[in-house]
Amino acid sequence: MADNNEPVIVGFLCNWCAYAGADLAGVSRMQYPTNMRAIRVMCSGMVHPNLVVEALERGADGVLVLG
Amino acid sequence: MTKVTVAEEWLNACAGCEIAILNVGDVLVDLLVNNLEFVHIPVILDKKYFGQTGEEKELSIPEAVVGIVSGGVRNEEHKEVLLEMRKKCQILIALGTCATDGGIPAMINMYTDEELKKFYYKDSPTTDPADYPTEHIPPLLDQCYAVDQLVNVDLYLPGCPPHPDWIAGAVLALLEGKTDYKMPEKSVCDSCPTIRESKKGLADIKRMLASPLYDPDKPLSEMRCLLEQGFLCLGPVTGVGCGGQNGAPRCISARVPCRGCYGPVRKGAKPLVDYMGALASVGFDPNKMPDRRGYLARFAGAHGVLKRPVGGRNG
Amino acid sequence: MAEVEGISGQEGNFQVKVRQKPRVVDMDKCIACNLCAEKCPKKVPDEFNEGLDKRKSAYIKYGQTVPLKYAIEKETCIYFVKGGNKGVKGKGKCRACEKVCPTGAIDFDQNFQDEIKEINVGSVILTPGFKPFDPSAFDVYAYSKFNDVVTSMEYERLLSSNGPCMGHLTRPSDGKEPKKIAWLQCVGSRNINKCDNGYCSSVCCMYAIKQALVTAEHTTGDVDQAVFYMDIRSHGKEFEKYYEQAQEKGIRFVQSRIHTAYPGAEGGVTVEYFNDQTGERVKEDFDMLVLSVGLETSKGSIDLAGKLGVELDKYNFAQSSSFAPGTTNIPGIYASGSFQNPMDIPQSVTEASSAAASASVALSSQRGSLTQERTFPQEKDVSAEEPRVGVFVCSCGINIAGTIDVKELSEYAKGLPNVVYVENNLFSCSQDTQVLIRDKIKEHNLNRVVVAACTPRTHEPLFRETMKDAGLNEYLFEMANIRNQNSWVHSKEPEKALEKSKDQLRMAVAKASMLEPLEYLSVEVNQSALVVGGGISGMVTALGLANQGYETILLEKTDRLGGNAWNLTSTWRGEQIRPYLEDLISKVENHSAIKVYKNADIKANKGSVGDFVSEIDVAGEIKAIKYGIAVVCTGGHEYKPDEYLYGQDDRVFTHLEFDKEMSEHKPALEKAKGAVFIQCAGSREPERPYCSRVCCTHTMHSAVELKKANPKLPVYVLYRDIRTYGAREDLYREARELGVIFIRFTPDNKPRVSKDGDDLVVVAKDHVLFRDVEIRPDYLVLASAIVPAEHKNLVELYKCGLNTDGFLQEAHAKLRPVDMSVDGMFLAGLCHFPKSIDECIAQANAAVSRASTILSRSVMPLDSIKSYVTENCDGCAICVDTCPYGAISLTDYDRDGSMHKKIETNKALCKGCGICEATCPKHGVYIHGFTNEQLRVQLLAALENV
Repeated sequence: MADNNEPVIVGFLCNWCAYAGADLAGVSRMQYPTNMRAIRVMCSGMVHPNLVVEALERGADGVLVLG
Repeated sequence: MTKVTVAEEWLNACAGCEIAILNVGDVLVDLLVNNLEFVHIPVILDKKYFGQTGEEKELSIPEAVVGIVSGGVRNEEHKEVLLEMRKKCQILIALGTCATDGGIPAMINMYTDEELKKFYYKDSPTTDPADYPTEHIPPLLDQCYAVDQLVNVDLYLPGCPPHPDWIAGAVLALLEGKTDYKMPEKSVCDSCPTIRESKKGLADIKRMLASPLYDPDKPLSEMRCLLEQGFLCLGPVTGVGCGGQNGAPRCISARVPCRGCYGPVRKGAKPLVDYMGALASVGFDPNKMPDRRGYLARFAGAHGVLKRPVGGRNG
Repeated sequence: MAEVEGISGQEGNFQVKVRQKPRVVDMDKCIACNLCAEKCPKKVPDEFNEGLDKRKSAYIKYGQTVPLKYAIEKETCIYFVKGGNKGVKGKGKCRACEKVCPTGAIDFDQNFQDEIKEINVGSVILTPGFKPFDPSAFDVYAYSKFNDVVTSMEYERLLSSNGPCMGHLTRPSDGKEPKKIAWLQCVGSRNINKCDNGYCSSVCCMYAIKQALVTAEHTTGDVDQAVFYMDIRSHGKEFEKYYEQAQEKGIRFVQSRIHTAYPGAEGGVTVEYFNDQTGERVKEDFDMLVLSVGLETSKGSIDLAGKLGVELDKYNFAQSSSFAPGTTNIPGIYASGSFQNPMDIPQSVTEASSAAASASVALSSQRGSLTQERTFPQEKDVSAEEPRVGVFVCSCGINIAGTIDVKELSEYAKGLPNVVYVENNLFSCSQDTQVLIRDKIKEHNLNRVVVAACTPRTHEPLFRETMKDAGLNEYLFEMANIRNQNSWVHSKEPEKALEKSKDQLRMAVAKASMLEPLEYLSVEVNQSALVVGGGISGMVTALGLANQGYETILLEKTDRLGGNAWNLTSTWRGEQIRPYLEDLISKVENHSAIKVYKNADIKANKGSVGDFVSEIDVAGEIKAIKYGIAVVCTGGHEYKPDEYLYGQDDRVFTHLEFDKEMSEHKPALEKAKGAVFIQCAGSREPERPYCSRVCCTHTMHSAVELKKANPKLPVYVLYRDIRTYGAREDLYREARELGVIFIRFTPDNKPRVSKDGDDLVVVAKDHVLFRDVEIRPDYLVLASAIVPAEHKNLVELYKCGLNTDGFLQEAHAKLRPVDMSVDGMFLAGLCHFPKSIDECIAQANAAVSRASTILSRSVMPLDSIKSYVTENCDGCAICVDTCPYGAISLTDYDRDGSMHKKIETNKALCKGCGICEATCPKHGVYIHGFTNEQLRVQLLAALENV
């Protein structure tokens, strides 16, 4: 994502639901934009607010905490 | 034996840090006999920056092995003095929270210069309204900086004021040739002996108008944690040390909550986010807290922690 | 794809003959890439989507299939249909899937014949499930005539994001989004007119409410929704609140049966019904009509029962007794789920565990005799080494390589920090690649491995085994999910997909470099149990555990076992309770493995799963006990009403009091003038918003008994909704047939009870006459609520949870209805929610089964992903309360001569959720494998190029 104006989204995905859902989207061949970079967590509750703030500070356009 | 030379400067500061240096007391007196020599400390010893009669064009500070700077950097004069200190000193110590993290004066970072001037010279209820002076005043910088935002700092001794234990410790370490002296990276809670039972029930936050529950005849170790009593004690996100090497936290010893005067627990920590995140986890609604930023970053507004609202206030 | 052909032998030694139908696809080779389905030319209706769209003959039934392996359907595949497999010349040429399969998993010359297998087992459990009722025969609802009349199962698929309209609801006739939808309840249930399903299907009210609530998420704008019902049966835990929520959200609940559906003007339907408020016939247009079809036993299941000799009841459900739920007429053969009775998910899960417990009793002596353990080489200590990362990029045939340039990705990987070896594999998960990875680890002295392939959720265990095989700690492994979360979902954007895959790989390598070997954890299990509460649930649990061979302590707070059962006479099926109860008590008290303590209570507790240590007070004497698991069966009791003159007139009874009165003074009925039952006394009220589940059935039972004893006695039931779920509906029908009069009331117009001289006067507004009716009965029976036992002590000692009604909270409402959120703790009976005796016994059996999963081993392995305390912790204790599992405690310690505080985490209680990590303001507690730094380096790697 070096160039262009594509928004960069960081996603924190709970292993048990959102990450599994993202896998299932793959099995179902659903198509969606490539902008999100997923970080797998064992519970969305483990995402420290500092990580969200840091993501935004370092240039992410959006942060998704999915769980 | 040659004495180690020391230069001391105060920038956007109140002289409390210099009193803390004097409060080192006997140790300092002993050291001054054989080991240390203050070649420059304008708070105590008169000093003319541009020569005794003002004949010099350039600001000058004598060379020294150790430089100590208190206060943050708010105007062009502070900056000029700081740069000169850095140039003349081999080892630079940032003394006090103003120097390490901006301190109280850095709360100005939430406001514009216009707001500052308007309030200070016109609107403040204790001031007779007047125009903003234009002469004999150094121009303001765009914000209040911590010292390390402008120059390299070798050693940090925060505190408002810093406890003499740490000043003595740092000086003794330097005299032994150790330049890696560091404050402990723990929070005030590490030195706090109060009883901790449960942080639940924080929804009911008390202001300091109320008094915590304690028995004045009993030691601190028999008082319930002030945060657990509903007071927004900043101990968990504030660096340890206000009580010295082994003492209990000063404010809490006076039965009032920690206000955060030692700044963040470690460099780069975000006490604002850390504190609100932690409290939200135990059920506290951050929206209930008036002036969140001012309260939580009262002593640590530099380093971009406190910013003016984007697009101006009310907009 | 297998069917039971027949069974012989007996309990403990059955021979089961199984017909295995051919999959044609080799399960070991299939990688679920979907290419066979893509190429297959034959389209057939997709039965998973209720025939609303098409699938291919090469297919998986649905995305979550386990195992995720494709199959070729012989009945529709062109090659088979045209006789290709029979060697007919010129026929059956297709075989397109065979050619395209990248792993050679499809072989039409092999694997196409039925196989007969003989399996030797000790017990058999029948769980064939149900078939949704087919409403085609109900011509008045025009299901087969109008496309916009659908069954609830079809509607479920229409709503589903992987259904035929991808979750954006459209109606079948014209593809428009419906704006007005009606549900009609009890289609194929509670009906002996058009079908023989006299029972209530138990689940349709809740699924209709769910569908109505969920519809809003799958449509745009407002949707007008109406549910036409007879009685809303929200008798499960938390169900009543859900019903109330639906009413608050504006979903209309119309108590009326649509009698005919006509075609709508522009698609949709016009329904006609009787409005009982106005007394008028109403015609109303809807865009769609959903028929809430009932559950019934399929023909295949009936045949199966026939082959096995299992007796079915008149509704074709497996015949069972209340005291031995799940057993059949044949010892060693058990039934569970909706083959027993129509039931919802939590009940099915409970009954399944119950069947497992029953099935394993006879086998308990052979436990573990067929298991084998794998061994691995000595683990190499790499903690002092610099990271040396090996990267294996999987092509997954063309699944990844078809979208992502894996060669370029592999080249890119070589330049990443710490990467010392990169290889691209056709299939990284294949057996030979495992050997290769193991060899490369040794050859290049790798100490971290990254595989860029599919999802860790399915494949991480395989690669971790390979790590162990190579002598590395299995936690030094990381995956980059470039298939499920990249090539499959970005197949039309190969360049962007490549960029994303580089980011994903960079993130994985960054994390891998930070990984540390983790310790393998386990706890020693004290293979004994504690059961708290000596009612039926507690005794069944204790007996079950003891019969499985575990020493069990049973605590009862009163001086006798039996609890509420002493006050009950018979089950809803009519079985006498007293003989069963006395027999059960005697078995429990005489069992050598059960120690019963009466007048006992728990005083203190510490420890956790596998190793609990408690102090109990037994009649004033304090004892210490140790146990591995605990089952809580603390029960509940009858609510004492504070209305309807209860306590002020001795003709006003609660259910239990009335049962007692009848057993002692039944002859008085001869002269009685009348009996009135008032339902929901204390239930479905603001202070107790739940339905007590059993009271309607209890009332029916009592009303029928009264009518049988004295047919002339006028009997009235004043009710809100009659909730006789399952076959209990027969009792309701019988009561009506015997002449019991039912008068419906609403909470804002409750019956009024007063006294007129010596007469007890009950006034209620009749819902048909719209007039007050005055009754002067001799008996006024209040169907009073069931309230849970006081649990404060238990909650404090074990950190377990309660719901807002005071019932103990299970770990998961649907999937773990018997486990508590505290590991090693289970629950059964009324402390969980009001339920009937058969349901209590099933839940108690289920608790035995769940407890056995822990007690059957002397050592219980634990996951290594746990919290640990770092040197930054200084005991502020904010995290202590946030831990949902009570795994964190505060302790004092001495450092350089002065006392400080820090936390300790209990590895057995910790589930690795990391809420503590996110709470801690100073990095004082982390989760192994997911530390703040490890997440942060991934974040930084993700944003490296921004």
